[in-house]
Amino acid sequence: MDLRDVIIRPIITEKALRYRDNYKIYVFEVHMDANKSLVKEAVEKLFDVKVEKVRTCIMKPKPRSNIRNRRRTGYTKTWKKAYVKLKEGYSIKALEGV
Amino acid sequence: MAVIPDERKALRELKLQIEKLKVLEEEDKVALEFQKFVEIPGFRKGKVPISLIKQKYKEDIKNEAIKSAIRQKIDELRSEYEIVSDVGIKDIHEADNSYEVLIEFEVIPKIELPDFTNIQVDRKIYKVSDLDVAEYIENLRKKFSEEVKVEEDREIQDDDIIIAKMEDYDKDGNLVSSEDVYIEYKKDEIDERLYRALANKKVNDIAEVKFDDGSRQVFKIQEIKVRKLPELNDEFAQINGYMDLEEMKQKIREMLEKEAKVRGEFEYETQIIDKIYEAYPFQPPSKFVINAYENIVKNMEVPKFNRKEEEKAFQEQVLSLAYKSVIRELILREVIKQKSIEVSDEEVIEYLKQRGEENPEEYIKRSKQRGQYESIIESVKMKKAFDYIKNLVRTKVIVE
Repeated sequence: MDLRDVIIRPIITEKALRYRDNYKIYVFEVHMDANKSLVKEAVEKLFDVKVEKVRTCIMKPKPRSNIRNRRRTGYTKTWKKAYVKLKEGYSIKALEGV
Repeated sequence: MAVIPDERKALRELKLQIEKLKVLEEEDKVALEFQKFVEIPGFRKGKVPISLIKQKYKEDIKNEAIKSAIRQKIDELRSEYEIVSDVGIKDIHEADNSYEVLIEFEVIPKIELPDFTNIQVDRKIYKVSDLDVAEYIENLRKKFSEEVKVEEDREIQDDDIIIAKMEDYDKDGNLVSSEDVYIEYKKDEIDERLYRALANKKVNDIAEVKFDDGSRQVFKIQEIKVRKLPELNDEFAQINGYMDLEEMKQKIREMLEKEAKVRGEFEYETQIIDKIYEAYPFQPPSKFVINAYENIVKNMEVPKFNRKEEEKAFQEQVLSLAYKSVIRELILREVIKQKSIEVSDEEVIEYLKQRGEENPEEYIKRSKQRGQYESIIESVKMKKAFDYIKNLVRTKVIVE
């Protein structure tokens, strides 16, 4: 798998920003087939940082409802989330301004 | 039309310099305002970081910050320039360290007053004749008249009332519209072609009017009526709320005399204002003119218009009236200012008495409670200012 395909997008939510600011943990949506070592390698290569630890989890699909008629119309997709802790003294510049 | 110098124009343009540092300060404030209502998935309302808001709504925040900075600058200028209108932004140009903003607004123009003793006006005094009273009564009789059908085989005569079905055909002969119409058959009051077409016609006859563009109107006469006027006697006077015919004539004469006096006074005052304006023309703020226009329309019964041109002509007429009323007000205000005209309580009471208030003291008390006393004072001052002008202008009295 190409390393550029591993990281899909950074997760920017209240919780993710709290993790980033307090624990230097960055949260990403990653490829379903990516494992911890692949995520580590991708983050290190793409953002030029050193990763201390990666934790991943698979987000279960949630029921999706149609806003117009409030009927259940299926489920959201399953996706993988990765919590990436950086080594002391490193930070991802591209995500700092947020 | 006379050329109005710039200082006597209400519309002004001004170039403002807004420093970029000031805009940056405003951006922080605007972003904080945005934070209150912005909703971004993953964040609770009001918890979105400022940095994210600034990044996501960069352009909106910048524009709003510039506007806010301009508004602040305008507020500072408002008292300095005595701005009386909304301020329009004509152009924003970004320079190195600042924004150059071209704004447009209206102020009360510089009003110069001429030497009133050099102004000469005619004052017409309208006399009410027996003929005027008779004409008024005749119109009153027409108002109370009864419409009576004539015999079927009688031809149309002058002053008849015709009820007909009118059909409008275009130049290709297609029927455009069809409606019942009410025609007062008078030579001076209806189109000459229609007058000729209807001549000597009877009920159920057809009259046709052709136009130059090929279109035509067809009138199918349904009814011919005559107007039966009521007898002019004491009974008629009583119907109109008078004791008898003599009293009716007397009261109508008094009313017409009052109207003639008001008309004469209005024409006299209009002439004076026109002469002052001609000497030193100025451009009143359009906002004042629009307000005056709206006030006039609000207080009058606006007729229904069949054609766009009629409506436009009516609007132009009212607008010209509004324009003149603003000019009059501004000139009088200037006289009040220059001559430091003040009014006493006695003068206010006298003014209210002239206006027909039975209990002026009580009226003053009530208007003070409602906060309308200032506008009464203003009216008295205006009247006093006009009296001051009238005393100075050279007046030639003409009796008509």
